[in-house]
Formats: sequence, structure tokens, C-alpha cells
Amino acid sequence: MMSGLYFVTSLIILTLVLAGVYSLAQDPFAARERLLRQWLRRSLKLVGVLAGIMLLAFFLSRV
Amino acid sequence: MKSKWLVLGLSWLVPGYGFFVHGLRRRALILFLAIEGTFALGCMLKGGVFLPEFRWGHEGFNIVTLLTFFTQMFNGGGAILSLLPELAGRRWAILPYDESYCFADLGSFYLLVAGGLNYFVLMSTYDHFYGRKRSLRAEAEESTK
Repeated sequence: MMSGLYFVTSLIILTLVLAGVYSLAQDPFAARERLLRQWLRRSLKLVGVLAGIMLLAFFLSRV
Repeated sequence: MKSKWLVLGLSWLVPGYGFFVHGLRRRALILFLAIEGTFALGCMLKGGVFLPEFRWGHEGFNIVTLLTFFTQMFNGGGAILSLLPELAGRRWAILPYDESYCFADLGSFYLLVAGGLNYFVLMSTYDHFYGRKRSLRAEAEESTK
């Protein structure tokens, strides 16, 4: 149970860091507000995809 | 201005150096902390970087291990520190790697992500300061005047 929590938390943390570094690397001269908006947008998209995969895995494990 | 290859080499060793040397100091610090923070978390979970088997016919040869190694090596300084015990002997084991620890694989995954992140930053340094996106910098400076 605990190890699953570690893995899921890690996935979320790494997704947030990835989205942040990617946004900054893609547009290093952008204004701070624009970077924050892009970071948030990318993070939400990626976390949404992760949540979808987790739900799919959860329901498939019940079949 | 320092030579392109020196800056890229140092950016490989120290994430964010390329941004720092071109005046984006706060952003360089953010990149450094994000990448080395990920690396440090991986080390705390006792992950490590290992030399893979390069011989094609050998039973230990594995394409996933090879790709993992190359990606981890993009975070130059940290990856070299992690590789030291394998290259120079056990007494150089500075980082707390422990293969038997239950989260060691997860830790190695953090190191893989840190390498991938520095790859983004290296490519961005090349593109924005030396390559095809160089003009964007002038535009950004123009718009802030």
C-alpha cells in the first residue's frame, strides 16, 4: 500500500517538475505570467492523462 | 563571450549554466534546483547510474538499460558522481546507492528524469543562444525596452 503511494506521488511530482522545466526551456525569454500559465496548462494536461491511465488500470485490475 | 562548446560542456556538468552565463540568472537557478532536486530525491531513494552491457551478443545486453544509461548521462555532474564507484572503486561511493533497497528502482527513475530534463535545457541553451532561435532573444530584449 505504502509503496503504491510512493509511486503515485513520485509520478505527480515528476510530472509537475517536467512541465515546469519544459516550459522554461521552450521559452526562456517569456514573461513570468506567461510561463506560469503554460506550466499550469501543461501540468494539468499531463496529470489528467496520468489520472486517466490510473483509472483505466484500476478498472482493468477489477475485471 | 565564452566558446559555445565550453558553455554547452559546462551546462552538461552543471544544469542551467548556459542560462546563467547568458544573463538569465534567476531562471538558471530555478532550472538547477529543479534538476538537481530531482537528482537528490533519486539519490535519497538510493537509486544509481550504472554502466550497461555494450556487447551485442552478451546475455546482459538490453536496449532499455542502454537508453536509460544514455538519458541518465545527460545530467553530467550528478551522473559522473553516481558512476564513480563503478569507475574508480567502492571507496568513491559518495552517493547512497543500495540495490537491495525497495525503492532503488524508483530512485534510478528519478535520475533518469533528471537526465531527461537536462537534455531539454541543453537543447534549449543551444537553440536559444547559438542556434535557430537566436533571433527570439533580440526580439525579447527589444520588447522589454
